[in-house]
Amino acid sequence: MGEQSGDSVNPTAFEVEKQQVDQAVVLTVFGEVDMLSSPKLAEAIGTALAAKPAALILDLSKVDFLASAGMTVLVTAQAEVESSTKFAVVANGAATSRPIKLMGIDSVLSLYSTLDSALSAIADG
Amino acid sequence: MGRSDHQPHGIVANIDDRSRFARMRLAADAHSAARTRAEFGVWLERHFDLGAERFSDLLLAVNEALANATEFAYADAARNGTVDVTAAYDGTSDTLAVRVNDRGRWRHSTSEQRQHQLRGRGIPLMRALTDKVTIDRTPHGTHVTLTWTDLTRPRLNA
Repeated sequence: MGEQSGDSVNPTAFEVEKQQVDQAVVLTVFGEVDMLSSPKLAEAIGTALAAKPAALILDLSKVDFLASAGMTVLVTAQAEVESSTKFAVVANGAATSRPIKLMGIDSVLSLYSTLDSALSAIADG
Repeated sequence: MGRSDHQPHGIVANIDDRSRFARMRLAADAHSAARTRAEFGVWLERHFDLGAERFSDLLLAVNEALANATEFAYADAARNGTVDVTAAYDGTSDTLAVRVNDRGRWRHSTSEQRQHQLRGRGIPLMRALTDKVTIDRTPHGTHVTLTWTDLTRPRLNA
């Protein structure tokens, strides 16, 4: 689809930061996860998974908007992750964990409310 | 309706107040949807004192209606069409109705699998986040109306 219009306006401040915490790769997501940014999130997850980490934690604590397009990325990642990688999602808030739970996606994801709880769950193992 | 129809999109005067939010003839693309969502959020914050949950629910539901119009209404068209978003608040009944109208048809015949994947959660989300959703498919476009009653009343489960 053409997206030539509106290039000067970019209300979607989206960023992904990657860090290694012990055996886990942590992707911290900032900004809005909508149909504009979801492909970038999928790409970041795909890149991280390609290195076959022991664990991948997707931290959505800094996300202030999560659309269905973003939820599709989460569910797809969960489906594609290899059994050798533990996959966890961190979300806590009206804009993130609430719609995740409303859609019942928390039943297919390992969802944690803080990064610390996700890290210790993975360490415990 | 008459006057705005003659103006190129982007130049339409956006005269909003507490009872009305309107963005007409928006480009049906992801950038425009994100911008409109942001402007709707500003309008909500300016005129209503909503809790975080209510605010997020409204923003997400409107986003999903916009996303559907963007993704599907013009999927087979040579170029993207336009979307109208209007919100009307009635203080007496404390009811907010948001209408998202496109002039295309949500396609059911083509790439059904892809549609299902992408759209799978859009409509269920709207239903979960809204007191009432109506989706009116006409030959001239799809009209989605999202309605919230007791908009500003504090909710027990909030």
